Amino acid sequence: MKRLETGGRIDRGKPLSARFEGRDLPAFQGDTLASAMLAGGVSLAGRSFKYHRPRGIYSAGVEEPGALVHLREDDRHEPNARATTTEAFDGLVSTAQNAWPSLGFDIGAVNNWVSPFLSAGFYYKTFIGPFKHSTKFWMMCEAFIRKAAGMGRGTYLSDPDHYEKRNAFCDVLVIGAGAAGLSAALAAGRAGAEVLLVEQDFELGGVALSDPAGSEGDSWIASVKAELDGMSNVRILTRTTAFGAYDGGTYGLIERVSDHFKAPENHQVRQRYWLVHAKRAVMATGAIERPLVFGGNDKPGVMLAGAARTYLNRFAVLAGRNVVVTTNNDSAYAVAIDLAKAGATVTLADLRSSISEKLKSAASDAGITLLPGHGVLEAKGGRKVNAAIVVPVDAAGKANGAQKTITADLVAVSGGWAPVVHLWSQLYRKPVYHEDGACFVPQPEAGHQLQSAGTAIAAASLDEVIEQGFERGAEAARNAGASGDSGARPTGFETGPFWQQGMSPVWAIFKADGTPQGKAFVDFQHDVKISDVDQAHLEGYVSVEHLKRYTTAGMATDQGKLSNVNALARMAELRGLSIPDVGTTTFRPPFTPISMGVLVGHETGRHFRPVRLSPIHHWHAENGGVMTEAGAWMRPWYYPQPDEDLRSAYIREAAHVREHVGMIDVSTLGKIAVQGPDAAEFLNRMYVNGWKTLAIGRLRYGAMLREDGFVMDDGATARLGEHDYFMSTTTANAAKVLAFAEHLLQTAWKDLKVHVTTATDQWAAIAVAGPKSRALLSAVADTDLSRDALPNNHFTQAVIGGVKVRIHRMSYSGELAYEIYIPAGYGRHVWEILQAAGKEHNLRPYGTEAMGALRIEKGHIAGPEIEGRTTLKDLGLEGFASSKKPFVGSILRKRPVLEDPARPTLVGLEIEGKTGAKAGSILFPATGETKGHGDGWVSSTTYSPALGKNIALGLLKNGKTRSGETIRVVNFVGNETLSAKVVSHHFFDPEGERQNG
Amino acid sequence: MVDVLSPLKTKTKAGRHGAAGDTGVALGTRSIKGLWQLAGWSGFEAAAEPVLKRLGFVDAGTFREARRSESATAWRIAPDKILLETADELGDEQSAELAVLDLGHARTAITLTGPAARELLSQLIAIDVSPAAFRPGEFLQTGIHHIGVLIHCLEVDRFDILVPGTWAESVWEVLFDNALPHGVEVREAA
Repeated sequence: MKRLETGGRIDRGKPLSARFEGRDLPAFQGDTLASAMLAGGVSLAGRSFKYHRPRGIYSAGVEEPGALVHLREDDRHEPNARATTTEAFDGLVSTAQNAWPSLGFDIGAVNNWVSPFLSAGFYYKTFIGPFKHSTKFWMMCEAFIRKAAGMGRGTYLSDPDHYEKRNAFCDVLVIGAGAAGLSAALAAGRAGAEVLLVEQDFELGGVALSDPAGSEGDSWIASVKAELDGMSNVRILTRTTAFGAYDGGTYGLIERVSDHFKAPENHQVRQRYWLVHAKRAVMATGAIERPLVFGGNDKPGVMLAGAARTYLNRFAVLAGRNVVVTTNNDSAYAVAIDLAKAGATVTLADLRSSISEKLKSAASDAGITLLPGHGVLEAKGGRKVNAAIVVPVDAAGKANGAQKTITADLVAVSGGWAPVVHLWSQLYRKPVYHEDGACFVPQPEAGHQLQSAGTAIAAASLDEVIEQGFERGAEAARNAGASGDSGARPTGFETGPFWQQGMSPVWAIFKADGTPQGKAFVDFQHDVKISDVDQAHLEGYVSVEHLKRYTTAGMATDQGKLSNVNALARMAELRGLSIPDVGTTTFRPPFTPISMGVLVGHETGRHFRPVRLSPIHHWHAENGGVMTEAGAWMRPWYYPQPDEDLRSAYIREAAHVREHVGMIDVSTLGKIAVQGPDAAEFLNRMYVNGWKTLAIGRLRYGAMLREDGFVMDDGATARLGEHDYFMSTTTANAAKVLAFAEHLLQTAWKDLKVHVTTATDQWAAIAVAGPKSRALLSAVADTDLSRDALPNNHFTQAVIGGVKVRIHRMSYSGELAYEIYIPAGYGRHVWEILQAAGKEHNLRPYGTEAMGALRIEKGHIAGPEIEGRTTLKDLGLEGFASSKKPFVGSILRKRPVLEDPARPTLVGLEIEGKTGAKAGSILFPATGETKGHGDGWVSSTTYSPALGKNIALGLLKNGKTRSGETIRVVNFVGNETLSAKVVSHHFFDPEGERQNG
Repeated sequence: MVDVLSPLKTKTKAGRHGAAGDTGVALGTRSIKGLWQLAGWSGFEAAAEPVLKRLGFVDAGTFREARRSESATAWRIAPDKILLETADELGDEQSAELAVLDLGHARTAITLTGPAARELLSQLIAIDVSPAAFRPGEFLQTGIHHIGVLIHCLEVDRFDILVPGTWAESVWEVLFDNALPHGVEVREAA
């Protein structure tokens, strides 16, 4: 048990039930999973990605490369959770990942023994090169490699939780709530700016939380927080990570709303995705401590020095009793002193031989054994460090004296610190090298929307941190338009030394021959050793971007947080260049991993896309209609009677229409109001046929082309008044036609005084078809519907059931038919009136499948024929095109390739036998090979109850001259060949006697 | 007189849903008295003036601020278009200079009230809806769940959302599901 009796910022009054690998952990409110694991004596936290090496808890933050675990169970199971940022909660269950059969005995660890054969580029060389003309071997091996390597395993179960998106607008976004961020928020808030302060931790304070509890920093944080809490213009979000910075002052944040509970409570979301639009932003993201490279530097028990201090002071966990601290800078002294004060035996191996008297004295006072000019050459131990081999080193980190072994259960390392520059780099460019801090920092520029403060730009003291934060905050508020006074800057408080003063830029400790003693890692996440960097260099890689991709250093969740500078430093050394000359890589979002669920938000399940419903929709659902998707709409597909399937239902429905009367909800048709004195001219330009002579009270079929001459849509348009037309489009193309018309009116045809407005929502529409349709409508409507009073292609106003409607005489089925347009809110009422009155006439509703059968029998084209590749001529509509006026597509439809008489043209197909053709089948002559694209294709297919056979529409080369020919209909997907006779596509009532009756 | 069937008839069953505690959001519908679009071309404002005067308006309004009179509400939805909610019949106002379109059945009005109403809107639209940026009397034309809507701020925490009728259920469901964390009350249609 490593938990200290006193101290820390945990709430000992609130113990929590938390487990790792079936083992109970002594967790309290305020712990992380990692601190609870350490408190419970867990040293082995996971296995590494490639070599399955044992890994422990290396850090106390987002940079954690080793303690990646499976979290939660069942449908809330989550892989790759960082134990260091996972807040402990009651009921927490976690297990190790990437280990089999167990974490302690992992078969995959055999990879470690064969690691010399698994160096950088192994997969490329081994599995691609030798098998030049085949990928089969690679594909076979890939499955095994993926199983052996990797991270956690996801779940295939549906995520039961909800996620939310939120848009926010502010004057000043402050990212990070350490001393710099708090100071920035204070200055901006006092100035009157709308401030959003975000902090990824669950507490404010940043690195000050790693000072001993009760330090001056605590009261400083409390004081600033109290003042911020009192400002109504400041909003503070904890557990919130700014993961991306984008143009226009836009930032992506993830708030972990319920991740600190076993499951979201009281209908709360699990996580929230904030899209923040900020006039100005201050990046106070701090710095991440860097590792040192030496043999065995990845073993459990090797830890960042600052993390050891965090565990001690924030969580009251003494991570080791016998500690070797090794450092190249001053910051680790506070760590060593605090550990010693807590009762640990501490040896401090400082790579620098020259150390300030103040530090020497402080170390001595704390009882620390100080070894100037020494470094750790190797950490010894199996699944846990048990000793450190310490050696005197020269200024370059090479051993120059005798090794000595020091018993240790913790090796705390500090190789300097790396400012967290990710957001700045995402937004602007690569950071620049800062010589004093030996790190990469943002290059501030006046006018940048995002400015940086604190250790994110390598501030060298707490006073600097506070000063920079306060000034950036005040400046951001001013630039955002706030005019208030920011007042006096808060004074600093006592804390440990920063890393920059007297830092020695030594990254690795080598033997005298310049090689590490044992495996020395630069990237723990992807098991990239220093020898891999050496090999990349040997193979000619000089660019850091290539180095990254070849070795995979800095990839995965690390994103360069721990590995970047050490890998670059090695490359620089090998190339004989300085680090800035070698350069660094570019950072991309996200800063830390984010769940896909939160990006999706509510747009899943029933909200995957919006659904459009007819005003009569619920009648269909309540009366047994089987619904189908038609674009965004839900439409009744068929209305089955008991024991009926789709086929028998639609055949019955279609036959019923031909014999009696049926009605179908056609509210989904696109409806566009075309208004204005130039409406007729507009229609003339849009449609291929003429419109100037259309009288009020009449309607006309029209076809329209795209500019490239292909058919775009068709439909009927009615003239309602002098300047008022009612255009209908196909269900599928309504939005496209409206947008196209609007585009033309706003650009090419600004001379026309015309407005087009969607009226699809305004009108419900019902098609009534069949020989008894007139009798039915005459029974319910207050108007004369006789053939003379309302001939085909005319419309009339009427009242049905007390509702004013418009009745269009037109037919899509080939039957005597009408379309009734009803104000949408009365649509169901009129449908029900018809339904009641229809009993006398044997009225039945029919669905889209029967509608399709009827229109194919009649030879009408629809979506499958107007599919973007067909011309007027192909579809037999060229007779509609006016030669007296230009219209959209009138020039390009005359292209020679579109005039080719051999082009596939619309034909009817009578299928021989009992099996119907499949749409998309390819048409071939009766004899010869069935290869290639054939002579055409089947576009629409159905069983025709009127003809008693299977029929189809198709597009066939030279179709007009092949009537009577028998051809083959080949369905390559279903491996089926049928014979069909080519006939006219007007299968049923070609003279139109029924519809004109 | 036949009742107009609201597209949200099946949704507006009175009840309390979502998070326990204070109710953050109340959702409901209201009937639309009549909705007309006036549209014109150059000289639109002059062409529309007689109709606007008849309804008690002194001008065509701005693109952000709704106008209200005793008998009508007007939203200037484009330089050459005004949407009017009124029980008056305007069909006869159609002329060569003024296109009048009845949209009385094309929209349904969702009412959104409550202390969390603005938060709910911020979950769904990428426009600043803070009290300072979206004040009573103002309106927005934007999209909720990819559907074009008009949001009218009536009071600090009271909004009307005009939604195309055929999309209304989808928009309602998105509002409802996003409102659950706030605690939501559904009110029967008035």
